[in-house]
Amino acid sequence: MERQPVRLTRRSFAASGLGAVAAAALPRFGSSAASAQEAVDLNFHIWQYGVETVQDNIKRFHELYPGVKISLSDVPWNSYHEESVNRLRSKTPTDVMYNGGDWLEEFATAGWVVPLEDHFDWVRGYQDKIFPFAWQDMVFQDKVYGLPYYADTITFMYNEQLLKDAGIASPPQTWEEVTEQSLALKAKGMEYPYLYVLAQDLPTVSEAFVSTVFGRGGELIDENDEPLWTDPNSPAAKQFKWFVDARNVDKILTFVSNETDAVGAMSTGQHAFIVLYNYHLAELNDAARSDRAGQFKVALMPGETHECYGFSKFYNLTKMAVDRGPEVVNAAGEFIRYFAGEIDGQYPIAKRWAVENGVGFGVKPLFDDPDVRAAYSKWIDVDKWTEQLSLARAQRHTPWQGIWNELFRLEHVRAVAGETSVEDALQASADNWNELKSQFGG
Amino acid sequence: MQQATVAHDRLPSEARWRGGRRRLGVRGTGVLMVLPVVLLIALFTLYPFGQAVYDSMRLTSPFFPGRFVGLDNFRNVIGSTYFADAVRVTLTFTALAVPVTVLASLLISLLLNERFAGNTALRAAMLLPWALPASITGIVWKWMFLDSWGAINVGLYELGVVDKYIAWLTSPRLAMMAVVVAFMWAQTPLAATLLLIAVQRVPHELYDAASLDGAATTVRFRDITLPAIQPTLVIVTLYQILMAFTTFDITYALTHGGPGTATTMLTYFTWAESFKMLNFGSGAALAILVSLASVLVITVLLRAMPKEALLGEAR
Repeated sequence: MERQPVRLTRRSFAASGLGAVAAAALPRFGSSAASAQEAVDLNFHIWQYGVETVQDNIKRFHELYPGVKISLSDVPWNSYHEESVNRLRSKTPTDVMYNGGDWLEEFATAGWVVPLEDHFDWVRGYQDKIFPFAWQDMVFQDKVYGLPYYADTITFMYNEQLLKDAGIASPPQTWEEVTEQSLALKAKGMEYPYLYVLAQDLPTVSEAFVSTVFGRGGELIDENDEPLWTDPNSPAAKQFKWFVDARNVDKILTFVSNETDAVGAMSTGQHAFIVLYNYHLAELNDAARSDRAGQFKVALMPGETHECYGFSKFYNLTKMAVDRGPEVVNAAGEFIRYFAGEIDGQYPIAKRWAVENGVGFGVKPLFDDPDVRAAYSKWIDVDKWTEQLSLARAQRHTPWQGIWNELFRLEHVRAVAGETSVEDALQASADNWNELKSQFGG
Repeated sequence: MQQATVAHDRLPSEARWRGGRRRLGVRGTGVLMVLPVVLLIALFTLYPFGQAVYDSMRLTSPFFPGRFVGLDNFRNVIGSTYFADAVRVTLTFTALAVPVTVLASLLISLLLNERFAGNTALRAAMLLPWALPASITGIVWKWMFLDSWGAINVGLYELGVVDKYIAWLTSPRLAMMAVVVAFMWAQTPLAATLLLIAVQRVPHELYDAASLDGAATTVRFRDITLPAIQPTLVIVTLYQILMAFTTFDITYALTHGGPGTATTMLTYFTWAESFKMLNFGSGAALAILVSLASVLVITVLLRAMPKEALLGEAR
C-alpha cells in the first residue's frame, strides 16, 4: 500500500519553529524528503552559455530532487553585470546565480549575496579540493561565497601551422617576440597576425588584459588598492601600450567584438595569435566548427613570469533566498552541491562541462579523471596546459571593480583606436579608479 | 404602457445629457473623448519623463543613498569628452543616414509606382526588413560586414574585386558607413511605402497633360511629383531624423559603439552611463538632453520650412 505523503505548507513549517532543525535533519531533498515537502521554487539566474546543457542538468537535478523546482533565467554575458545589479536591486526573485570574482565584492558589499559557509558547514571541506586561484576568487573578507560553476585560465593561443609555414619554430616567449613574429608573418602576407577581442561593453576584455599583465609578472593594484598602472614602467602600463602600439604603430593587430566572432576569424587562417578563455581552444580545434582544427596550440603567456589569470565563475546564494526561509536555503544548498560539488564521489556537472565543452574546472580530482584527460587531449597539449595551470593566479579585487572595468574598457578601446594617447587613457583610468574608491569609502 | 413608462423614464437623463453637452460644448466633449488616451500617454510617457527629470538632479546609484545634486549631473555629462564625441558622432550619422535613406526611399517609391511584372510581390517583400527587430538587423549586417569572414568581404574577394579583405568594422569611417547602410536597410521600407502612397495620389491627368506638352521625365518629376508629395516627404524626413538621432539597437549589435567610440552615439552613451557605469542620475540627465535636442531639431526644422512644404501647395 502506497503511503500518503504528509504535506506541510511553508508557513506552518516555519511557524513550527522547527524549520532550521528540520532543514539540518534533512540534508537532501531527495525523493523521500520531497514526498514530505511542498515543492520549493528556486530562481536560478545565469549568463548565456550552453543554456541547453544547463537545462538538461536541471532536468537531471529534478529527477533526483523532485521537491525542488528550478526556474531558469538567462541573459547575455555582455550585459550580465548590469542586469544582475538591477535584478538584485529591484528584488526580482533570484535565489542562486552565477557570479565571478570581479563582481563578488560589489555584490557582497551591497548585501545581495551571502557567504555559502554561513549556511552550509560542508562548504569549507572543499577548500583542499579546489585550485587555489579558484578558491581565492570565491572568497571575500575570509568568507567563501560560492562553489565553482567552472574555473579556467585565460591563455595565449597560436596557430602552429601558420608559424611553421612562416619558418617560425616556436611560439613567442615575450610580448616583444609576439611583435617580432607578427612582423615576420606580416612580411609574408598576413595583414593582422594578432587578433584581439575588444569591445567597450565586453567583460572579457578586462579579464584578458589582466591575464596578459600577469604574463609580465604584474598586477593592476597593490595591496592597498592603489592603481599600479600610473607608473609607465609598470607591467600594466607596458602591456596597455603594447596593445596600442600593435594596432597603431606596428599595425599587426585587429579586433573583433566577441569570442564567437574571434573563433570564426581565427578559423579563417588570417590570424596567428590570440588571448582567450582557455576553453575556446576546444572550439578552435573542433573539426565540426573549424577548418583548421588541430592547428591551434596553447603556449605559456608571453612575459617574464608566464603567469596567467586564473579565475572561478561560481554559484552564489542570494540574500533574497535567505530571506525566503530555511527550506529555500536548504534547497539552494542541495542545488549548488549537485551542480558544483561531489555526489557519490563524482563531480557530475563540472565533469560534463569539461568533457563536452572543454570548460575548465575548479575541483582538483577532475584533473586526474581519465575521461577528462582523454577529452582534453583531443584539443590541448595537456602537459603544456598543466604547466600554465600551475602558473595561474587570481587577481586582487575591490567592490568598485565591476563599474571601473566599464570605464577602463572605454579608455582602452579609445586608445587602441587611436582616439586618445596611452598616457591620457591610463591617467583617466586612474582618475576613475580613485573617484570610485573614494565613493565606495575604500 | 410599459414602453411609455420607459420612454418617460429616459427623458430626464437625455435632457441631462443634452444639457451636459451644451455645458461642455464641442471643445469640452472633444477633451472628454481624448482624455483616456491622454491619460495613457501620461502614464507611459509623462510619468517616466518626470521621473527622469527627478533622477537627473539626484545622485542615483544602486550602491549609495540618493541625494539631490542640482544640475551637477548635467554639468558633468556635458563637460565630459565622451559627451562631445557622442554629439559629434550622432550629428555625423544623422547627416549621412537621413539623406541617403530618404533618397533611396524616394527612388524606390517611384520605381514601384511603375507597372512591371512582380511589382506586387516586390512591394510585399520590401517590407520584410522593416518587420525585423533592429537588433536582428544589426546582427545580420554584422555577419555581412565582419572583417575576417563577413559575406561582403568573402564575396568581393571571390569575385576578384579586392585582393585583401576590407576592414569594414575596425576602420572608424567604414564602420560608420556600415551603420548607415544597416539603418537605411531597416528604415527604407516604411519611408518608401509612405512615399509610394503619396506618389499614387498624384492625378494621372497631370502627367498626361505634361506629356502632351512635351515635358521630359525629369521635368514632370520636378514640377508635378515633387510638389505633390512634398508634405509626405517632409514628414518622412523629420521621422527619419528622429529615428537616426535615437538609433541604438543597430549600433549595439553591429559595432558595439566602436571601433573606439567611432559609432558611439548619444543613445549608446546614455545606455552605457546608466546601465554599464550604473550612474542612473547622469544617464537620466543625458536622456533629457537627447529628448530636448530632438525636440529642438524638429522645431527648428518645422519653423524653417515654408507652410506650403507641410500643407501642400494646393492649400
